[in-house]
Amino acid sequence: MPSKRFFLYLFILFNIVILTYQSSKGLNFNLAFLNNIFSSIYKAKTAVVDFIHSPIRKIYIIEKENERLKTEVERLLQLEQKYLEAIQENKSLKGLLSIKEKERRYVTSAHVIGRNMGQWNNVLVLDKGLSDGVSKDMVAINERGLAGKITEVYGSYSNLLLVTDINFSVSVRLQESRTEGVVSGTGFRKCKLKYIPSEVEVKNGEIVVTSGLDRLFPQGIPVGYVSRVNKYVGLFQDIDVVPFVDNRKLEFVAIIKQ
Amino acid sequence: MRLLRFFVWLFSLILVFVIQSSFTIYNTSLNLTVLLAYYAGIKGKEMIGLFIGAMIGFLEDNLSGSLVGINMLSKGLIGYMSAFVYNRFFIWTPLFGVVIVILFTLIDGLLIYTLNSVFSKTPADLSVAFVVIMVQGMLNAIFGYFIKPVDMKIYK
Repeated sequence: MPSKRFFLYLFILFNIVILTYQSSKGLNFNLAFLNNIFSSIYKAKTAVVDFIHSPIRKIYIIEKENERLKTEVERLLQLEQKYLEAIQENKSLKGLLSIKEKERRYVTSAHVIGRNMGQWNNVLVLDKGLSDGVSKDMVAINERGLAGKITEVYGSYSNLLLVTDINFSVSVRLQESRTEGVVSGTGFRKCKLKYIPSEVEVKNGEIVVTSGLDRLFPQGIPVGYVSRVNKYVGLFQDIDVVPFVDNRKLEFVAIIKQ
Repeated sequence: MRLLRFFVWLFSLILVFVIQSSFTIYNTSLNLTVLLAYYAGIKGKEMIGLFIGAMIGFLEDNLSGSLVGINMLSKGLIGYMSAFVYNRFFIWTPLFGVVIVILFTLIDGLLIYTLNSVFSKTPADLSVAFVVIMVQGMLNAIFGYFIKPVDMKIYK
């Protein structure tokens, strides 16, 4: 009976011989069917692993996609805001442009750069001043109507007193009845139309325009519309006027001479 | 009983091949077949270790597409050596189990590297190969703690 060592040496020798043979002849003795069997096993294993992994992977992908879409939505919303802003700005500037074309007394257009909108102090800061030809008591309007008047002017900026300010007054005329009066600010959204006699018929919604009699504001600029009329308070009627220009939305104004 | 044992071996072998081909750790594939050869050795006699190790190596050679004989020789020798060492002077303790598994993994890896270099082509730089083999040894070390001989010639 050959010893264990004999088998060991034989085994080593056998391996070296087949390796040398394969090496020199460029062949190998791989059994293809083993690979086929293993590849079937591997496929089965992959199928099992996929079966377990697939839902997890799907959730992961959906989560990633969700995050990506959220970011995309945020980006698009920002973009939309920019576009809306540009549209609004364009609209305002178009209005100003039309004023510039129509109005002979046009001086310049100004951008609102600051707001001092306390209850009793409705003043806006404009980005145009002395250097742009702006001077005190000039009139500020936009495409809707009268915005206010310039009260203080500095080198590169000025202050605009709004129609709604309690210190603001303008001589006006009711467009239909042609009755003259004075619109004064109240510090609130609405203004008061003063000195309209009780016998004059004033309708709600009637438009109020500047009369030019005060020699401060040019004639015919729309100021606002009548929102409430109370005839029975005495010699004059108590009339509320809502200015056409909404101070809260005012961005651009055209400045015109008196 | 023998048939059952055969199927257990077959199943273990397939499992080992699947795991080995599926996972890499830091670009280092596992060398779990050496554990099977080692287990075959400490479980039986030298000739059984040699035979089972050689069979495992033969299958691995076929599946890895390398020259037939490289893994067959190395795994056969590991099977033989583990049986030889265990039967002669090796008293199993967890620490010895770990050390011997590392040692056998290193021997196996170096043998495969050498045989590939001689009969086929050098698979990688020696320094790289050494690092890879060391990592494989370290990973296998964990199994060395758990792979115990059946007849429990264990030091207590």
